Amino acid sequence: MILVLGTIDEAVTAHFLAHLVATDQPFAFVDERQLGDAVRIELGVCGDPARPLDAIDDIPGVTPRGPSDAIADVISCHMPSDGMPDAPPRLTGRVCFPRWHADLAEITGIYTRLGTGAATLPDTPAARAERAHAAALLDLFAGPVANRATAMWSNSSKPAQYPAIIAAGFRVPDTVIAAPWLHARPHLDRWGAPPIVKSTSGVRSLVKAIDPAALGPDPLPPHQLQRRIHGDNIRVHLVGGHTALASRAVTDAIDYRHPGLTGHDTRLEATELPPRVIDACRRLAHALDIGFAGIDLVEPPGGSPDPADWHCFEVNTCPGYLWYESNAGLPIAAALADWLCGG
Amino acid sequence: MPPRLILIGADRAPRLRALVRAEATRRGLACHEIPAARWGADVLPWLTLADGTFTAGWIDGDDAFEVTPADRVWVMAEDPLPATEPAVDATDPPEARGQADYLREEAIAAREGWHTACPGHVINRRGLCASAFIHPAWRLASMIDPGPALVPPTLAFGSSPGPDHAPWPDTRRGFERVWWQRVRGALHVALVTPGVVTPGAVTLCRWTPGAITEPLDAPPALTAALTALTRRHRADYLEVWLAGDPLDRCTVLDVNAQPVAVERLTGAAADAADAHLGRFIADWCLP
Repeated sequence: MILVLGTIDEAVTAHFLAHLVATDQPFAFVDERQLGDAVRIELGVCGDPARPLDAIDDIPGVTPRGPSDAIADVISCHMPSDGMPDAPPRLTGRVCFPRWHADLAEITGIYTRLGTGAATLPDTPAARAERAHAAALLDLFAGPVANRATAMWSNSSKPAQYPAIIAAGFRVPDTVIAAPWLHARPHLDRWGAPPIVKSTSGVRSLVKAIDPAALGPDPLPPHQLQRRIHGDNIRVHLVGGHTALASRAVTDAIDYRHPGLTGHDTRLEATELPPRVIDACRRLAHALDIGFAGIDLVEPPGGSPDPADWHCFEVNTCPGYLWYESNAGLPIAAALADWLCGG
Repeated sequence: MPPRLILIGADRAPRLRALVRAEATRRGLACHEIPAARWGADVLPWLTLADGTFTAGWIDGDDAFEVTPADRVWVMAEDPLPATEPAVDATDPPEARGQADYLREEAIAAREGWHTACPGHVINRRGLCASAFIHPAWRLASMIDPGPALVPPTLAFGSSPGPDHAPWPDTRRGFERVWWQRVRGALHVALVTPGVVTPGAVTLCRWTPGAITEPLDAPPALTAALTALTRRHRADYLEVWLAGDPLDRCTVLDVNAQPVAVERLTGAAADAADAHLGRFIADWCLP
């Protein structure tokens, strides 16, 4: 069973659920708005195998499976009790719905879109606690997770990803962030063409070229200025750290994601990547601990099998893949479901 | 050009600050300090990348500074960023609040990028790819593989499991229903610097209410486990709170990459830490 966390009216979540229904794959869905209200997550992490807790089978008022113990409103765990540790800490628990629960032992993988919807979330202590428990589940679950809560944080700072991108074998466009003109001017002069401006954070921005003269006095704002890179934009969805599904954006727009805003057309088409470029994507996703990654690349004009000739802008840690799947015909949801169900 | 010692937030760690400044004086090295409250507020980090090479520095008023690869950098503490301009309050329109939120996100992202990518010989390089800084303590602790000397805590998320469990001592919102199983034995704190040749890599102290005064010899098995834990999180300096018998087995209760416990040591424990960390800082300052 795949556990899906998100909001039902968020497009990517709804699309993935529709895929699971259409392919008759078992799943449990938690609407984020119900956390702390109708849904709660109870977890146990058994630390010292020499001191196992008693196992608990049932939760009062939740499961119809029989009598419950007075202290059963908690999840505990079984561990070998021979006095010597022989296994890593084991996570047990369940996701409790009003009339049933999904035991973690039945869950093969987790897909989260928490925090991506436009819905207003309750700010009660119970809701905050359950959201923290959901984050703990994403971090500690032993099986595949797309993606772990703390690993997704790297996307909140693009320059924080750059050392990993470079170490994986890609290039990163020359960049200036908040530098004084003394340090920024030589870079901008060397780039020749007007620089590209984009957000430094994970907040989506319209990527565009700007006139440096319009930037104002020192210091520069904390946005990124980057050298413009020519070539085709390639979005790689890497699933399970292994399966690469790539789409090419055929466009003249600087920011192909917003063609309407710039008066350009964008056509997405599926494309194949050189094996060494795929390997570099795998290294990068592994370094950032991202099981399901949306990697933004630029293929050099004329192509190249060497990742050192390709530029990488960033790694999206919660990729909204729907547009790419719909327009390039890539089976991204299917690959994601296969990975999360242990395929 | 001799390296400089660049300390950010050392005003929050006066013991370490004194040790670093003493070493700087002994070696004749310049020491540059940026208070925690000013870092990112009116002392602004900057970063550039050219042909795969990072340069970084900071702007303080009309002066711009650059970190060289030889410089030694230690971010001991930093504060949340203050509200950004334009100032917003409840009467401002949503778009003004949105712009302020966006600029704040940008400033935070720039600071995290600086931490991750700045050149220099950095102690406890932080940033969004450094597990010791991004993972909550309970996750760091629970990721430990159980071994003969060190085991992770037993945790529960949800309703209280019972009287043998206590609330996890994390005051952040959302952690009110995290519990850990009480452990028999005394409470200890370990200062771990895996870069220092063992057996001197760990200062182990017994905690008593109100003070941490009693240093202990860390057994080799515990020293090895603690240094492995610290290396796993790619930290140069880690504080680990333990419960149990160091000669037998300890449970990890908390893990912190920022110097906090060291500032609470007194008496013989402080003397032991000074000797240990003095060696650590001297090694750090070596060319």
